[in-house]
Amino acid sequence: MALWALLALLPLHANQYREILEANRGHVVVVAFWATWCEPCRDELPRLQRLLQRSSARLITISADEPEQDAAVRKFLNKLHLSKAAYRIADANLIDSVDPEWRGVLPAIFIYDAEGRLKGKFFGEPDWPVLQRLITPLAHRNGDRD
Amino acid sequence: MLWAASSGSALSAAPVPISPGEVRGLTEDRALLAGKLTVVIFLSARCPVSNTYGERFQRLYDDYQTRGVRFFFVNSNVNETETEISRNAAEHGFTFPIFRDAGARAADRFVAQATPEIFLLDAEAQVRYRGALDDAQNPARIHRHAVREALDQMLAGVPVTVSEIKSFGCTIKRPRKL
Repeated sequence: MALWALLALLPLHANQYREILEANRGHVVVVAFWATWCEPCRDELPRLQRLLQRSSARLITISADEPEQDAAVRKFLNKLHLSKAAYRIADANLIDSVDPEWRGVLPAIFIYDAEGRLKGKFFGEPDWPVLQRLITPLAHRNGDRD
Repeated sequence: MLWAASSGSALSAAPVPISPGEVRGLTEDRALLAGKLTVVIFLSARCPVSNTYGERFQRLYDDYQTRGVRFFFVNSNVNETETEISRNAAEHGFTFPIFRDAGARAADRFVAQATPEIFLLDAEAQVRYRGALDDAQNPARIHRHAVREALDQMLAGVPVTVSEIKSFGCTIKRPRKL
């Protein structure tokens, strides 16, 4: 069995999103919603990863793929070494529990500060300079509690 | 061709003429759509989710167009060519025209974000439902045929009980504003 097949891809229900944010309290958290069928998402994840390198921010990936695509999701994430905090949406009600303004377009990025407060959100392909200006000072601030 | 009077155009093997008033209803004054139940579907030739729904769109059109419901299939993606849209429509065997919303004016008017995204308007041109066709990309997992349920309720003259179901989809690629 290939190693990527062992990657835990946890099904995520609507009521569990806040729990994940709570569990990461003390860290800047960047949540990236993506799917294997979404080309801009596939381009975006490695770029986000590079942006967060050498910071204490945590990147959480949440796939909107159907369960039949689990193997493809695992393979893609494993190639990027993004296997630490990887989830697959189990329930489309999650969209509303994340943000009522979000209509489910992908990619979607949500940025939370170390206190778990939403600091920014991007629906569709992000404006990278704007995203970078938002993330960099947050994620490199010493306020993160490691 | 009547529809050529607007900023858009209709694409398919045998385009059904769309009157300028109806087109203006999409891009300008929605009140012009009053008088009939109307389904507006924003779709894409490139978005895999939209393409997954191709067969379901055709069936919806076949089932409700004959019951007096008016349909507008709209492609607002600036990155898709008319050739590509036509080819995609032919591959799916669509028998309905696709309105080419080149400047994404209809998408802006409806504040549509995604493909596929569906709007149901009553005879007063009020939006009664917005969102996904149903609650699962995989037909085997569908629990709610939301658009069909809403259309049946509207045709029966009773209130629409589910006015929105969100689902994942692709961003509408709008032209960059200078």
